[in-house]
Amino acid sequence: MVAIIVFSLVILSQAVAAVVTSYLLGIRRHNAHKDMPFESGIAPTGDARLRMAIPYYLVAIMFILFDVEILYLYPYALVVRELSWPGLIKAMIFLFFVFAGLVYIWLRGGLIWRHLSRTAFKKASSSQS
Amino acid sequence: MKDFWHVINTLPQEQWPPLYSAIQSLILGGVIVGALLSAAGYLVLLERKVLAWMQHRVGPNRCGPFGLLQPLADVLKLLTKEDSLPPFVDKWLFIAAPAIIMLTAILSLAVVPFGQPQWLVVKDLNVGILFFLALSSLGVYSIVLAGWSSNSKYAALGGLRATAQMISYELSMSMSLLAAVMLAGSLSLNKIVEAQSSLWFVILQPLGFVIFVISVIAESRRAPFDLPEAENEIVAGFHTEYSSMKFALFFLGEYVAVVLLSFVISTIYLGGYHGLFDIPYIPAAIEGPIWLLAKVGFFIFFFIWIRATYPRFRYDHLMELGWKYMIPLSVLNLIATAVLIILFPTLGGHK
Repeated sequence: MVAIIVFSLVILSQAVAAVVTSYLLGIRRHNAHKDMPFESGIAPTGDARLRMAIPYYLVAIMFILFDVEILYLYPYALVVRELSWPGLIKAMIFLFFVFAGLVYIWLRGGLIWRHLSRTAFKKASSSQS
Repeated sequence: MKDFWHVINTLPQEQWPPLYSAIQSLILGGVIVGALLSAAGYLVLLERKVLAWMQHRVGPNRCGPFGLLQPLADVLKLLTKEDSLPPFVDKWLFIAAPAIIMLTAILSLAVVPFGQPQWLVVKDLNVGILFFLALSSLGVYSIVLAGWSSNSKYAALGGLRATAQMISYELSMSMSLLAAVMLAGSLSLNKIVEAQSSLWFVILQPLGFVIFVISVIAESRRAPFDLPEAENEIVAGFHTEYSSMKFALFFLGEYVAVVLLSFVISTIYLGGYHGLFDIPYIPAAIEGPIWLLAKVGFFIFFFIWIRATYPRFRYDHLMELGWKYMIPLSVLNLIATAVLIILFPTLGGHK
């Protein structure tokens, strides 16, 4: 614990030193054009807090689900030899329920990232089965 | 001092007095950070040179012989550039993001064993693999915060893309690591290296190795998975609004990640500090680090090679590769490994 804390302090001091040095050495001049968000040279329009496409939310939710499930497998990985076949069967049951979820999402078209019209989406998600 | 050296050499790491741990961590950590930051500088030069050679160009050759002083010139230039803090950004998060990427990228090296003697690892945590995974998940925060706090459209889009990509490949990454953990029967990286003293895991885990390498390339957002920084669509992605040393920290973070991931790949799949043969005239304590660095050097070159070879993926292909191929394949690999281990319990250096 002590070693990790000391090591992270060493790293942080490096990062802070770099930022502070450049803050002290660099010039700072403001002007109206520099203080605008960069939008390829044209005047920025609207807010930068955009509405995101739905798949981004979906992938976040799926990550939460699957990452936690994988974490549950770590204790099992340490005792594979001791638990032998009965343990493997139980782990397989667990994996089956987790990945039934993945297959369900897959079949419902949750893994489609292209922009599709409503009919094309229905066609694509049913042909994947 | 004599007492310190005696304790460091003989006692196991858990029994060191806290002060000795702190001193050892300070020395080794200082060496690691210093070496890593200069290595990252030279990695930029190496990458530009190798890419140039692969494209029949000369590459940087103005600063010093073969452009060897280029990293120094880059650092001096970046240090003296304007440190822009635009009025529309969220100030503290904007400053914190580059520091987080440095911290999460370098801190993982604390659990990587550099050689046989135990003072060659900062802290041999018994949950080393989880520590590495946790830090690589935390690394996503720096991207999210940079993209969100910049309050600029390109930055927001880049941050969003990077987040979705990184969390998707995190799954296949941790799943392929799980198979290696099963073989070694331990989460400590030191134990995993010891389990490979006779047979490297790359031979027992060919599929897991390939999945892990592809996942870490996607995780470090390097070509061909560099969509978050796709310059023809979203300028520079999440670091569009950054300048000067804060920009450089993002850049360094990427190259440090390349070095770190090369260390992790060679530690988990290529036997870490175990060599193929004894190098003559070299003390045993230094032999481990030499072998490890040779493997790491190969993987660093490999990362650059990949970048020169493959064009960038399309975004939907990237996500589909992650979810439809990598994850099911890594589950298959996991089950196959478990069955093999139960059939042959001596696999992975177990008695």
